[in-house]
Amino acid sequence: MNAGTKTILNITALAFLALFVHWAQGGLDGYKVQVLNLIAVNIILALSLNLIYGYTGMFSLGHAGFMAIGAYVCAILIIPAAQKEMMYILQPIIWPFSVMRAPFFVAVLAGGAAAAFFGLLISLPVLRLGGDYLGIATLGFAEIIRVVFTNITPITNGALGLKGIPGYAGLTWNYFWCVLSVYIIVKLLSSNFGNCLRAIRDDEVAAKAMGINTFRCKAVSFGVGAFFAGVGGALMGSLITTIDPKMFNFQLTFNILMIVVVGGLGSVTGSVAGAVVITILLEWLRFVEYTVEIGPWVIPGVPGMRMVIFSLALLFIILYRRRGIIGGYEFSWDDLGRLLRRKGADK
Amino acid sequence: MTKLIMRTEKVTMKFGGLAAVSNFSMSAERGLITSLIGPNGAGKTTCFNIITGFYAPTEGKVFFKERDITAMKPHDICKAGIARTFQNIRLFSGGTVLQNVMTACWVRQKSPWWGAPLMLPGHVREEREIREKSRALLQSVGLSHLAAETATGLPYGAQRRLEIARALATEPEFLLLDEPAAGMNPQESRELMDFIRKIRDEFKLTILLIEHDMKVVMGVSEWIRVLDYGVLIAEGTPDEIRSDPKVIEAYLGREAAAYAKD
Repeated sequence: MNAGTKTILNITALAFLALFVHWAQGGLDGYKVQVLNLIAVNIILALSLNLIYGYTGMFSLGHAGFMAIGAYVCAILIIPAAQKEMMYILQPIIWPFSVMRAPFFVAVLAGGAAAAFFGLLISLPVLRLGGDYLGIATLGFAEIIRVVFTNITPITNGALGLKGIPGYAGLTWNYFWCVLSVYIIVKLLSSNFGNCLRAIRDDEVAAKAMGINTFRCKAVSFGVGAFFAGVGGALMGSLITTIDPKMFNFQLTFNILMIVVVGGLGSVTGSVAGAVVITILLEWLRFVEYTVEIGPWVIPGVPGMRMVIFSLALLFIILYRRRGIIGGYEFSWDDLGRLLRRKGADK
Repeated sequence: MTKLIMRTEKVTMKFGGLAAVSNFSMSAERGLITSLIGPNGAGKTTCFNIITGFYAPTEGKVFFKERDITAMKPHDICKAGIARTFQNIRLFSGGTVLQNVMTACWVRQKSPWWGAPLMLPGHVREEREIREKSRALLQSVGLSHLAAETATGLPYGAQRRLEIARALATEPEFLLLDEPAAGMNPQESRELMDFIRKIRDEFKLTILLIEHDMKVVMGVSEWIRVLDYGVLIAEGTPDEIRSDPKVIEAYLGREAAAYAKD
């Protein structure tokens, strides 16, 4: 299949996605639209973590922190000034945050950029650590962000959080950012720079000996990952219209980590599939937390039961399907073409 | 252009109280295949790690093309023109054979990483050139038919060759091979000797080699240096080394050396 054909197929696929989004906006009820929104945001978040952990081999647990930065920066930029003044009841909001306004696209971009900035900032000390130590250090970073956001009340409104964030993040924006992040990350990974990231993951010593500035490559990967985590956080904030520091706890990071591991470390297709499956299951499995009556028996619902089921599922996947639900497979038009041709030949 | 491409000046490397290498001065002449031999634990690999920047020596200096490279980082040293292979093969296990070679081209790649998502014409062209160059390199080491295979799935001898091909992709002038014949059968070692000579001529390299297989050392080297307990005890042509009593003593012990003399 030549490059021209692939471009046409990509554009066709995008057109179908656009049509689907357009149809879903009118044709589906609010709950289903919300699930579709969450899928898009989770794809962005999972891809960004997969870039850091799955492709570059840096075990990072700081995603909730980057999301918090993205969400707050974006929210402060899109909430109208008058509303901000009313909302900050503990301490008034300080200038210039009180008057800052930006269009939604710029606000999301700024959220991502702020997260990337902090990502690069902490990458200087923490990327010298390897393996588990990096995990602990980044987890600590996320906790620090949470505590700081609780306490810089004149900027973040403290523990009360921000309410009434304009819900610009509809299907159109979410899928726009989702496609953009898939495009950028796929392009990066399929270039020779992507080879370098995988080389660092596979053997850092050999990568250094082959002239790769491993620290710089890791910092770039971490920064790009943090950027999209910030973008995901910004969209999430606008999507659910309320954010507070408590929301960005370790549970959030764990959910994304679960998507990445279930989808398969080091697989873009896996992250997309994982985001779709896990998001739908997280919603669908809500029934296990409700009280169920089967004839005379009443089974009381247990809050948090979903997470028990997910943790068990994760355990099984780690034990029996190390490469994720789709086994590390990476989608390509060539494979699809071959599959269709074989089907045609069978007939 | 001086005849020496690399020299070390009284290099000492101490780990705690142990001197792995002490007062080690050596040089490599441009275009020669030099071997570094010695019993296990003599400090040969430590020397490699010092030259390639993985260890900073406790004392002494390393010069490459008359430039002090002692304090430089491994990736900068690679950029300066020194490439190496490892004693225990270190390929990028997740990648294909072609990807392994392409990765090593990164050090000479001029277009930046963000050229990829922007699809800059210069970036696209350079990536295509790298792909072609890597294929040509695989062709010249006889691995082109395996380009799409996973690197670690290759037979042992082919993995060694791939590691050398990957080192060549960084466009070195000076190549360090750490026990390239380890684990090879006599047939494979003979092929390896021809291969080492071939790449030296084809890529105009200077080669420094660590090896335990004496057939390979004597067969391929043009100059040999012998290390024992971190000290340089002898150097010369293969014939001189073969009959040097100090070398025999280092390898076999004093009594056996006396016995050999009788």
